[in-house]
Amino acid sequence: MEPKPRALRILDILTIALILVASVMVFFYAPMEVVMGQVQRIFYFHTSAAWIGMLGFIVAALVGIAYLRTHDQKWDIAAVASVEIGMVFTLIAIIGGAIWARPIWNTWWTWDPRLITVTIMELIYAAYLMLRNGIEDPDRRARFGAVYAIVGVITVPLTFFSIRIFRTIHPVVIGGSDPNATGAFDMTPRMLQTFLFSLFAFTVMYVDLLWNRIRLGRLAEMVEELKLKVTQ
Amino acid sequence: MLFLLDPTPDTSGYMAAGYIIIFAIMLIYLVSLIVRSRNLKQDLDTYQELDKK
Amino acid sequence: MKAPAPDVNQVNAPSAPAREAAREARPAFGSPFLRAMFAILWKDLAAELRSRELLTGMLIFALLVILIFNFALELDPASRASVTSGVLWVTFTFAGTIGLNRSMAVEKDRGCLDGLLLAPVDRSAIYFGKALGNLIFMLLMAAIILPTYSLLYNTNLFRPGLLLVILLGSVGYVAVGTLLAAMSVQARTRDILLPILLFPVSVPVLVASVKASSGYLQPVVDMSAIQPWITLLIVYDVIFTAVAFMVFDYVVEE
Repeated sequence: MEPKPRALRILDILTIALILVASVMVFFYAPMEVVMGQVQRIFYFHTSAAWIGMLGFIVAALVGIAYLRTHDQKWDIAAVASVEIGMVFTLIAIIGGAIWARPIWNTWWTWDPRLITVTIMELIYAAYLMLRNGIEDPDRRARFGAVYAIVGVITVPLTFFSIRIFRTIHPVVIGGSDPNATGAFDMTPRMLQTFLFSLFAFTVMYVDLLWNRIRLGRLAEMVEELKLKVTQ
Repeated sequence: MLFLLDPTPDTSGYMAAGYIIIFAIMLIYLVSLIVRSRNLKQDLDTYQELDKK
Repeated sequence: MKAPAPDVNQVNAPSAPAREAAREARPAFGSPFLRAMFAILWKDLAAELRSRELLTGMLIFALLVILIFNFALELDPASRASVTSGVLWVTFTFAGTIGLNRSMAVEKDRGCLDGLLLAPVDRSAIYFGKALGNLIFMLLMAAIILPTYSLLYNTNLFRPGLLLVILLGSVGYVAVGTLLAAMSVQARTRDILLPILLFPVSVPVLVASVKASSGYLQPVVDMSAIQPWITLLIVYDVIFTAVAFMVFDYVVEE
């Protein structure tokens, strides 16, 4: 296993720096929202995490397609890496959202289309891992993973569009606003800047985590091969 | 509607809880990556030793 | 072949007797794809007609589920209206899973799948054949559940809107279910895996079906509320049938 490439070391440091700056912006630069109070600040990392959750799944499906075409194991390693990261950040989005919801909607959870579909997303990727666990042959495992990721990722736009098509109490942040939605707010320029910067910082973090996780996957593969060879 | 007439509620407790959990989960994941990486490197060394014999 | 096929280079149309002969020589359906698909469909239907084990299993299971719901939920006339579509669709979902599982497991266990794969047909013909078979079974089951439920609870479920929703919902469910069953049947954890894979992905279908169904079961049908759900059902059906068609090859290749 080759040592960590310099580019990755730099990316690690950049990621940490960006997250720190984003945090400072969230707590000190962004103004306080008048209706909801300080808890509204959760919005910045909550949406960024949700974005990474979706991005992780989209990437998993794309590299899945790449695997189906090339049968190159490296795409499969990338797929598992992306799914894992996507799962972690979807969880962050769900929990962050619940904590935000409690004081605003007076409930930790509501059976709202958006929340349901995001939870479904999380379950689909847990199912993805279960599917993989039930298959011995690495090629078949990769193929089935790819197929299920493709099927699963189509719910990602469903998640996004459910906020448009259905009446919902979940705030619509970008475009359109239902005046009946509790917790909707218009963003001031500072809020917008903080929001966009958080998105950017999280995206960089995703790439950094993905690269690291892929290296981990390659290491695991090397160990497996060596293990088979030695226990022959 | 009545909400708008009230003074801004103090929800900073929730904000703190939210961010603590968010950072905690990210940290746990990071640590898990590091630990798994370390374990795998140990395994690799072990198997490489065995392979040489 | 009774007569040679018409010469494609011929500029003029072939003469009447030549056309007649050519038509006799060609297979009943225009393409091997369709023939393969209907062959598989017919095989499943014929086998089921003889043994009736799949349909019986699904039916008994469905009736048991309705019975359990009767105890689990307060199905008195007042609350029944709001839960009927939910109960119906949960029933269809669970019994549908049984059908999907069995239908694919039979192929795998008896080695039919390998035989089908050796045949020089487009793999997706296998998919459509199986999917159509599964759809027919699910609709047959619905055709028996609906009157049963209507009788047991003294409600009339035979509204055209509801029947449409059942059709659209079943198509979507079976489109994805057939694909996923083809995968789950090849895994170690076969039986439990299909529901785990299928339920999350079919939630949009289920939600839309339940909402649209209860819309149609209201005393006054509000089309504006139902319309988005019907649209979602159609979108889902089209998308997932297309996707399944495209990726099925990768699921059954060796």
